[in-house]
Order: sequence, then C-alpha cells, then structure tokens
Amino acid sequence: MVNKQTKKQRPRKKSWIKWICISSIAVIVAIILLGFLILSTNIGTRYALRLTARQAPVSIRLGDVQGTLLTGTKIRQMKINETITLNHINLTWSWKKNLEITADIKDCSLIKLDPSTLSMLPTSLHPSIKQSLRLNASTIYYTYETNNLSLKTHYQGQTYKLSMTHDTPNTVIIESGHQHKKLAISMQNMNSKTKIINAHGAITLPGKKVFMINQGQIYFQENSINAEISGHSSDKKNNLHLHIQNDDQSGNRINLKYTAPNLNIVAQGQLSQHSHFVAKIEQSQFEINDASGEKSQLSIVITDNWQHPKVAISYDAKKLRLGDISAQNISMNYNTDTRIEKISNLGAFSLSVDDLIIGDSQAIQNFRIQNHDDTNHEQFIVTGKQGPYHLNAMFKIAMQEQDMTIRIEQASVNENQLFNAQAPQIIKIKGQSIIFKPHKVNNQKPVIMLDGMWQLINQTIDLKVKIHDLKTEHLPLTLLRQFLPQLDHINGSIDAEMQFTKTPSDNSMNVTGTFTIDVHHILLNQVIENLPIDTSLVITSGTIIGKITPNIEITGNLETKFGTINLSLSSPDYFQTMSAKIDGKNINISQYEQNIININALTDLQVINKEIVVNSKIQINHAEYRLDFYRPITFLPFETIVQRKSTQDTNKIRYKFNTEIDLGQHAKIHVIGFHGLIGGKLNLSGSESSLALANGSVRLNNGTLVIYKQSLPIDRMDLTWFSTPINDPNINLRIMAKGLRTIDGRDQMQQFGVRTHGTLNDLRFDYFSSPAPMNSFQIITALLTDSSFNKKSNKESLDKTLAYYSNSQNNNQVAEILEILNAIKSVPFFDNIDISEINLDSMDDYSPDISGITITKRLDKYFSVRYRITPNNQRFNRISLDTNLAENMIITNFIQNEGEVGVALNYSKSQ
Amino acid sequence: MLPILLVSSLLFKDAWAEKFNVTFSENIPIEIRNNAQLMINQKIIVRDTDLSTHRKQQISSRMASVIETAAQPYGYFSTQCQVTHLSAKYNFHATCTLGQPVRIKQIIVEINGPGKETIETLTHKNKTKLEIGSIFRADTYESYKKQLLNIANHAGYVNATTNASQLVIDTDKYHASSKIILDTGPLYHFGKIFIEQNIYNKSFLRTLAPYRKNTEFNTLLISSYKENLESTNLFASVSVLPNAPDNQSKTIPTQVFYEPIPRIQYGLGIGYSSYANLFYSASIQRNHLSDKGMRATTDFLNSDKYTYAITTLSIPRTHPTRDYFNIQIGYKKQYIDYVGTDRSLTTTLAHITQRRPNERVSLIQEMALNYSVDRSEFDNDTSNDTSFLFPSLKHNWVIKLPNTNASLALSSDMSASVKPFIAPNNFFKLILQQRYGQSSNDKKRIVQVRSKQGYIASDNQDDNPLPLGWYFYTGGAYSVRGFAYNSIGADPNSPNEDNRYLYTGSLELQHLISKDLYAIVFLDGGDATVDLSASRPSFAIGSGILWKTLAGNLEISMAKPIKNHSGNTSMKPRLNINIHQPLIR
Repeated sequence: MVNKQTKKQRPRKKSWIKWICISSIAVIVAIILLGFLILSTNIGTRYALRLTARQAPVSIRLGDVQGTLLTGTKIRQMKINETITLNHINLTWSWKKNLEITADIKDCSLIKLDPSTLSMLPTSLHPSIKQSLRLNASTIYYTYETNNLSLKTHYQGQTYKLSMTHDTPNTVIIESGHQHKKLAISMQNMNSKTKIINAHGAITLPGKKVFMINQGQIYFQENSINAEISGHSSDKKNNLHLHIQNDDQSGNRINLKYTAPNLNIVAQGQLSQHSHFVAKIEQSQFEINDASGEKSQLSIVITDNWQHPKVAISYDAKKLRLGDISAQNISMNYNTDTRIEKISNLGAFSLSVDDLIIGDSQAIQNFRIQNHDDTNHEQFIVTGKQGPYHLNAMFKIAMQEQDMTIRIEQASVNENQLFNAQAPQIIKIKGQSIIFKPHKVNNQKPVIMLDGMWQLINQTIDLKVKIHDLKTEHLPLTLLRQFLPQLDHINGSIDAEMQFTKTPSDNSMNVTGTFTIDVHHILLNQVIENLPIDTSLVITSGTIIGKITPNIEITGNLETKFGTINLSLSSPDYFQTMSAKIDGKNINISQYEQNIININALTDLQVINKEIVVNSKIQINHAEYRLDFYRPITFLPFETIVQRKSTQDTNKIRYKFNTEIDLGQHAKIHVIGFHGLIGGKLNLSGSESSLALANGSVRLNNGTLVIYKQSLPIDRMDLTWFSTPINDPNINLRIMAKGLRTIDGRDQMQQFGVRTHGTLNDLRFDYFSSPAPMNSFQIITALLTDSSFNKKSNKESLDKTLAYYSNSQNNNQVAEILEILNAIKSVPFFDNIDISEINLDSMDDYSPDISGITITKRLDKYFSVRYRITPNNQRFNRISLDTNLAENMIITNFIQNEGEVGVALNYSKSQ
Repeated sequence: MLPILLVSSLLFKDAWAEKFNVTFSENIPIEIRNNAQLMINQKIIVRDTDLSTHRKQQISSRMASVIETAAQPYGYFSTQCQVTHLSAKYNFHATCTLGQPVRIKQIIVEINGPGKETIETLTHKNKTKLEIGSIFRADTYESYKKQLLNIANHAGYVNATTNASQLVIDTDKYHASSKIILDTGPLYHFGKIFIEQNIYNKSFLRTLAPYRKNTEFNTLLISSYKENLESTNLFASVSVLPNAPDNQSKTIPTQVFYEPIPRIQYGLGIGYSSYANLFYSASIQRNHLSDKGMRATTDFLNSDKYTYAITTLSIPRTHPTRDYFNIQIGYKKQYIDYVGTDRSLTTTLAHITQRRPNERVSLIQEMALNYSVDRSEFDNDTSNDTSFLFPSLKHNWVIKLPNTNASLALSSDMSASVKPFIAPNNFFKLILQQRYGQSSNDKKRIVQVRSKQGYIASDNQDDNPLPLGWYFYTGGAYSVRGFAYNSIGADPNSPNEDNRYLYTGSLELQHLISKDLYAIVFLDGGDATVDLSASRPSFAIGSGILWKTLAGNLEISMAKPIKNHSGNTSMKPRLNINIHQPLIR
C-alpha cells in the first residue's frame, strides 16, 4: 500500500517542479512582456505613469500622455498638488555609457493662492489677486551612474541652474546669470540632532542684480538655531545681516537687518521665557502688478513666553491700491490676549481706513472695525460713513475647531435697523460651506433675511433672500453707480423675496422671486450726454415691480414733478436680450428755471445680439430754451483712423437709434440771437459707427433776430435736413423790416430785408427793398442800425457768435457782411446809416465811393437827429432834428452851411 | 462817449462768461485750453442747484476725459488729465500731462479727375501750413482741404470732393500720415440764364452778366452778376442762383429772380430857412418806362434864393447807372448877393459813363450838348437875355497813390461854343479842382490840400456877356471858410462883375485827439476876379473839430478873416458847418 502510494507520489513531485518551472518562465515572460508593453506602448506608458503618480505622497494629476517610455514621452500637463502646473513635458532617456533621463518642460507655473480660497473672494478682484509664478523652459537632467541631478530654468529673464552630484550629495550649486555666478548651499548632518547649512557665493537676481553672500552658516540643533548670514548686492545698495544665537539662559537672540533703497527691515530681540522681540518693515513705495502702496510700515512685537507669546502687530499705510479699489490712511492693530485660554479668542483687533474709494467714487469714509476685550474679543463693531449716511454694524464671531459662526446682531444705516439682536442673521462657515440661517423670532421682521447654503467646493448655492422695507438710501450708492452712473441719490424702500440656486452642472446662478421698489425721490444726472441742455431727471414718487421666473418682467409707474413715466421691461435670459418700453408724459427737462422743455416721450428699446436698438417718439408740449453763444468745437477730421495697440474697441457697445421729434406749437427758443416759436418735425437716426443724420424741417415763425442791441423781425426761418448730418442743415432765413429811410435825399418809408439760404458752409444772401432800390450795404446797415423796430428783452444776441465766425469765414458774401458789421461797430453812436449810392468794390480795402448818406441817431419813437450828405449839391448837407408825424410825414429842423437854420415838412409815397 | 464804451466793454466781458471756469496747468497750449473749455461748456450741463459730492466727482472725471478728447485735434493723443474741484461752485483745475505729440510724417496730395492738370497748376501757387515734422493739427488740415475745394469749385469743378481722403494716426509711433485725395469731377460751364419775369428786357439783363453760355463756371462770376444787377437801381430785390447742374451737357444754368422797383414814387415838402426864407418842393419819379429801365424824374424847389424845376429822362445804353443817356429840361433861378438874379431854362442831352480804368483809378465822364435860354437881372436894374447851344465835358478822377497813404482827386468841367453854333459869342469855360490828402502811418495826423481854378475866355464881352450864373464867385463853408456864401468876387460897389478868373486854396492839418475825433487848423484863401493882375485874394484862418464817421466827416469850425476883400467886409469869426466825404479814411 505504501509502495503504491510512493509510486503514485513521484510523478506528482516531477509535475510540481515542472509546473513551477513553467509558471516561473511564464511569469518572467509575462513580466518581460508587461515591461515591454509598458515601455513600448502608449497605453502601458500611460498606465504606468498614472500608477506611479498615485503612489506619490502628494496629489499628481496627469494630462494627456503621448508616446512610449521606450521612444520618449510627451505629457501635456502635470498638476502637482493643484498649485504647481507643468506644461508640455518632454520626457526622454538615453543609454550610452550611462542612463540619462531628461525632462524638458515648456513652462511651469506655481499658483500662490489656493483656488477654493480665491473663489470666496469677489470675482472682480480675481485678476488682481490671482498671481502665479511662471518659470519658462525648464529642463531636468538625471544621470543614473553618477547620480547627478540638475535643473535648468529661466525666471524673469535670468537663467538658473541647480545641480547636485554624487560626490557632494548634500551640496546644491546654483549657477545664475551670464557671468555664471555660483552659490553653493551645503547641508551637513553632524548627528541625528545637529544639522549645519553653509552657503557661500553669489547669485544673480531678476533685474541683473548680483547678491553676494559673504558668510552663511546655520546650525540646527535640537530646539535651537544658530545662524550667521551676511551679504550685499554688487552695488551695495542692498545689505543683509542676520545673526541668530541660541543659549539655554537667554533663549534665541535674533538680529536681522536688511536695507534696500525702498525697503527697510529690522528684527531684533530675543525669543525666550521672557521674550522681547521687535520686527519692523518699512517700505516707502511699492508696486506689484495691479497692487501698489505708499509709506507702509509693519511692526511685530513678541513678548512673554515664546511658546505662548503675546503678539502685537500693527500696520500703517498712507495709500494702498488693489485694482480699482484704493484706500487712504490705513491703520491696523492686532494684539493677542493670553488671559483667556479659549480657541475662539481672536485677540484685540482694530482696522481703520479714512477713505475707501472704488473706481473714481468715494465709497466709504472713516471706516472702522474693532472688537473689545470686555466681550472676549468676540464682538466686532463696524462703523463708517457713506455721504450723509452713517453705517453701523455689530457682529460676533465664534470659533469652534475649524468652524466659524458669525452672528450679525445689528446693522443700521442712520439708526435704521437692517438686523437686530432679537432677530440676528447667522452665518456659519463650516469647511467649504457657508450656511445662512436667520434667527426666527415672533413679531420681529428683520429688514434683510438670508436663509440657505453656499458650498464653495462645488459652487452649489441654495439661498433665500427676504428684504422687507429696506430704505434705498441705505444701499451702497457707490456700487449702484457702477451700474447706473447717472444716479445722484435715491430715496425709497424695497421689499423682495428672491431665491438664488445653483447646482454644479449649472453655468450660472438661477434667480427667481419678486421685488417691489417704492420710490420717494430719485435724481438722475444728465440722462443723455452731449446735449446742450441739462437732461437730469427728478422722480418724485412711484412704484417699480419686478417678477423673475427666471424671465424678468419689470413694470413701473413713476411720477415726476409735472408728469408720469410708465415703463415695462422684459428679458428672458438675464438681459442678454431685452425689450423695454418707456412712456413718459409731461416730462420736464430743464437747465434752470428759465430753460424748460416739457415733452411726451415714447421709447422702445430692444437689446438683441449685443446691439441696442432704440426707437423713440418725442412730442414737445411746451418749451423755452436759451443758448447765449455757440462756437464750433474742433474735432478730428471724419476720415481719421486712429491706430492703437490696445484693442479696447472690441468691447464697444453697438447701438442704433431712430427718433422722431415733433416740436409742437409751443416751443419758444432764444438761441444765439434767434427768438420765437419753432415748429416742425424732425427725424434723427444713427448708430455707433455712423454720423447722426437728420431728416425733416424746423420752422421759426414770427421770430426776431437780436444783433447789436437790435431786434430784427424774422419773416420766416426754415432749417431743413434731407438725410444730412444734424450740424449741416439747409437754411432759409428771411428778415423783413420797415422803416423811414432817406433815399436820394428824400425821406420815405421803405420795406427791406435779406434772405439767407444754403448750407452753413455755402450760405448765400439775397437782398430786397421796396419801393426804392437799396443795395446790400444799405440794407445791412438799415437792418442793423435802425432802432425803430420793437425792442424786446431778449438778451441772447448774435454779436458774439458773429465776431467769432468772422475769423474763419471764406464765403465772399458773408465776408462782405462781416466787414460792414465791423465798420458799423466803429460808429456806435448812430443807429441808422443810409447810403444812396455806393460802390463796394472787393478790390478796395473797404473804401466805398459814397455820394449821399444820411445817418441817424434815434432819440425816441418820434424824434431823431440826422446828418445828411446830399448826392449832388453839398450846400444841402445838413444836421437836423426830425420829428416823425406819421408813417409818410416828417418835420425837419435843420442847420447847415454858415449857420443857416430852417424847418421843413416832408411827405412821400409810392405806388 | 467814454461811459458808453466802458459800459459796453463790461457787458461784453460778462456776456462771454461761461458756466464752468476751468483753469489749466501751464503746460497746456492755449488752443487746447480753448477747445477744452468749449467742449466742457457744451457737453457738461448742470442745473443751478448745489452740486452733490458725487456730482462734482462725476464732473471732474468727465472733464478729464473731455480735455483728453479736446487735445486730440491738436496732435496730443496720449494726454492724461486729473481735474479737481476748487472751492467756488463751478471752478475746477485741470492738471494734464500731454505726452508726446503726433507729428506729420507724410502728406500726399493726389488730384484725380479731368481737372487734374488745371488744379495742380492752381494749387502750386498756394502754400500750405501742413509741413512734414510739424505737430498735427486738425484745423490746419481741414483748412487745407477747404482751400483745395475752393480752388476747384471756383475753377468750375463744382462736384469736386475730398471724401476719399485718408488720415491715419499711429499713436504708438506718434505719426500722422495723410493722403488728401481731391477728385475734381467734370468741368462745368455756364448754361443758359433763365429769367422768369417779363418786366425788363431779358436780353438786356443777360448782357449785364459777366459770363456767357459755355464760359467756365465760376461762383465769383455769379456774385459779380448779382452786384451788377443791384447797381442798376431797377430792382427792389434781385437774386442770381445757380440751378442744378445738367450732368449730360456739364453745364450749370443760372436763374435770375427779381422784384422791380415801384412804377411811381413821389414826395412833397415845405419849409422855412434863415437864408432862403419860405421854400417848397415836390418830386416825382416814374420808373420802368421801357423794358430796359428807362425812367423819368421831376424835381421842383422854390425859395427866395434858389428855384429849380428839373425833369430828367434817363435812357440806359448798356447799364442804367454806369452807361446811360440823360435828356434833361430844367428851369433854374439863382440869387447872388450884391450882384443880381440869374434865370435859365436849359435842355441837355448827355451821355454819362462810370468806369474803372484800373484798380486804383475810378472815372466818371459826362459828355453833354446843352441849349440854354437865360435872363440875367442885375441889382442896378439892367438885364441881359441870351440863348445858346454849347457842348460840355466833365471828368472826375479819384486816384489812390500806390505805396503811400495818399489820395488825389481831380475834376475838370469844360464848356465851350462858337458863334456859328447858336451862341452869342465864342467862349470857353474851364473849372479844375484838385484835392490831395496824406496821412501819417498811424493815421493820427492828416494833411489836406484843396485848390480850385476857373477860367472863362470869351470875345465881345461887353455886348453879349455870358449869363450871370456862369461867372465865378466864392466864399462859404464849402469853399473859402470865414466868408459869407459867394461873397468873394461880389462887390456891392461895382455892378456887372464878370469874374472870369477863380482861384482858391486851402491847407488843413488834422490831429487825432480821441477815437474818430480830430482837432483841425486851416488856412483858406482865394479870389474871383475880372482881372487876374488886379486880384486881391481874401484869407481866413480857423480851427475846429472834425468827427470822422463811416458816412463822412462832420466839421464844426470857426474861421476868422485875416484879409477880407469880399462883398461882406465884416472881420468877425464865422461859423462853418461842413459835412463832406473825406479823401482819406
């Protein structure tokens, strides 16, 4: 039986060995095959690298991997611990005599701020805060046999090479700059408790400055450090001296001094059972990317047992700027308080800022935040001033392990409570979540109530906001003005119930809810810019109701001093597209009391494809508009193309508009000398890329033109546009006057005038007179010097505009008129000049040949003094005192020649 | 006068005041300040209430942006401004750094179209202020474009445009490159002259145009035509307008619109004067008697010293006031102190022309044939009747002397006849006048010299003397000041004075004492005499004030005779009121 058994076991042993051999071979083959697969296939390489990455003590995320380990590997991106990003890594190896591994890295960035921390801050601040250190074109070499490792990289224009060799494994040599300055840092482990670091050499810093370390030794012993480091820059403007001494009796003595042209750091004292350590950093000016500051000073004082020290930190700065936000006269103090052994103890903290400015506007003045030791430093008080409004808030912070609870017990604007102690708002920060929880108390309705949660880690939001009777004047005006720059001030109250939700899959936040704004007073400054009138709008009362489903529907009924504005607005996609209708009735736009335009305006506004389309109809109900003087502004020529490197124009708002204006029957103007009622219809259209064009006509009826203290009756004036630029109307002006003139020695009633027509650049003048012919000179002088026309109290006169216009006038006819005007100005005493015969030859330097003239000083409606030069017989030249008896009859008392005196009665008529 | 000027200057200053008063840092050129101030006051409007702090900040910020825009047309594209509000309500202060100015790197003027050569020739004479390397200025650039367009338009290229021009400003390199492209378009000629109304002869009105059909179009010729029509005195109003261009024939027709003067004008007058006692007058004018503007005028005046009734028919030849015939019939009665009375009835046919031989000379010429019937009554109760036919020729020259502040006026009046020509005897009458004036460069001092000479030659004087009014007498406010009117040459003790010689002279100095007001001193003298060898000239000196106005000089002076051989031997000073046209303005 035994033998049978033994016989049976022998073959089993053989097959076991056989199987062992076979399986070993199979395993070896499999390993070789696997190794081969890993080395020679992309999938294998990728798997191997990912597996290796998982084993690493820090989080490593690999991007796309190309190639194989055998032929060379390219890794698009590698993220180490979410803070170091390596882009485009080219991993190669070679085996000649030794194994050499090379990793070329196109660029490498080190993010200084944790992304989750960054996401808690306002998005507008991100560009200012998000700073990453960028190293370009880095290469890592590793030689297996010699165990040499070197890293070559570029930083801010400098090349740095760090190398470690097998022979000196504890020494790193940093080679930098074009001159290959070398800095050697070595570490020696004397025993398990003592380490010595030595440094010696020079390093080229960014900006080509060379810093030399003359002496550099640090001894690490158990619980103690001794160090002696000194160095200076090559120009000796930067100096460093650090001395740390440690002994059992006096503890750690530190003496640090660093001076630079703009920076001064001093740290002196000892850290021991009875510490007294003072560190000061003074900086006169600094500027890093979007942040800058002036006259900043940081001081840290450490006293008491250095294991549980008392720390006092104070920071002062004259000016700090971070992006669009800037602050002036900042002072911050912090003191630890060791008396209370509580985790929640934050110490005494105070911060004061004289002026906090956002953009160009002052946001908050005299901002103060501080906590008090009689509340265990748990309670913070915040005060500030925004214009006439005093801001006041009180909250408590309680810490429990990693959790923080903020309890807003009170917040008020000018003593109007937003929150109160009976119904505080509680905000809990728990890990990456912020939980809002109102404290519910019966009969207490807080002004603002937040209820919900905001998870920072995955951006999940579910938050209810209830607003009850929130005074609009308590809103931060400065922030409101970022959206509505015209807002001067606002009085009213807001009631709202809104829900804000966002899931990780949502791109943006969803908002639903309703709001009601009861308006008591709003002042909007210059609603439409670039118009020669104040377009500010005062709303005296009204209601704006909004519903967000998330379609936004807003309706409003607003009252101005004299009229009403009804508005309706709808947007299905958070204002990406929008349509709005604004219907204003009896709206006054005015510069001052004498300058009023009352209109009905119906405006239809559409926003489609990021373009604003405005169609409006304006009906002027009544108006009185004054403009004293107009001089044209010098602009760039129309064909100008300005080339700039920056491409700000891509953000230009696209718009087009079409406005129909009906001037109505009661629009009175007093514009640069023209006075009267205007009427007509005008259509204005244009866009951001084209000139504003006008179509239509404006007519001045029964108006007057005031020039040289003289009111001239305007028979008619038409301004017509045929789809032409608004500043180039076609003018048709007819001035008619009637007066007693002396023509060819006879006094008679004359009707005369001038018609001006054409465009501003090509004005033409026609003169007319009846019954006797008068030439242009006679007519202009008659129009401008005869005081027989009705004088009114219209003060706006054409004189100044004409005086300015005369300098730049090329038109012959206009130039002739202006010359005559200049001549008339030289005889201000007289009102009236009549010339019977005149030859104004343009070749002469204004020296007309005159054969008969009468000039008149009108004393009142009936009497005038004249002197007359007769055409043919100079003995009839005379000075006279004339009395106008009737339209065609005057009586003349005269003196002439050698004292001859006389009286005459003249009557004239024509058919 | 002074208070008026003071008040008006104050008003003027106040009226210029603008709402915002912005002061600028020293480094900002004046033209940018002015442009910025204008832009600010036209673009930033505020109501008259207290400005909130926010509004002041808003205005300061807007002003800074406006100033930066206002600097661009003057070549500064990298201006950075900061505006601060000062204590007063509307006062602000701007501090700016202008940065580097944009300079002109390249200017190309490209003239295209059919008028290329013509315009290139014409523009060659015109210099531009646009220079390579100079700071770019929009006003200079625009004015150069306008200058080119004016040249083209005046040369008949009315559709010329510079719209295709390009101006590129590179603000990084601080360069401005411009390519001014003038497209002349086709050359236009004058087309037909259309006249709507039928009151005047259309062909006649067309002859007054300085252009004909197919003359190259020029806007200056249209203005000249209008002035020519106005000077005819035929119209209450007249316009000449170019019609829309005919693009097929490349012509521009012109259209004349007019309103004629009334057909009849009349006037009546009655009065009393210390010299002429009661006088009464009447006048009537009948216009457009023919389609060329023929007209008739009748004037009547009667007084103790002077009576006339004159009817004139004016018949235009080529121009109603510059080339025309006058047919005149006139009755005139003239009283001469110490001498007698002259009555005459004269019929005249005259041709009058007015022209400018050159830029500095103007000339009026009148050629006339006269027939006169005359009765002269002397104070000694004798009388003489004559009737005769005589031609006359009058010239008036005004000459502006080149390169000096001087002018010279000359006039001559000649009449002559011979016995066979229905005349009492052979005679010749010539009157010459000269006036010369010269002023200092600053026009503060003016010297004026006047002189007049007259001569009558005739045979058989005793039997058939010429009419009394033909002989010479002088004295009075307009001839020899300090003497009664026409008293020199008139001797109460010697009747029948046939003064065949006349000479007067005057030297006057004018000195500016305030604006347009001059102090004058003068010496006047002269005589009218029968025999030149027995002449005893009278002299007077005087002084007074002279007020120069646009319309003429008003002189009020006193003159005292220093030698008096006139009919009135009083040596007392005499008042002169003299209103006349000066030779020099």
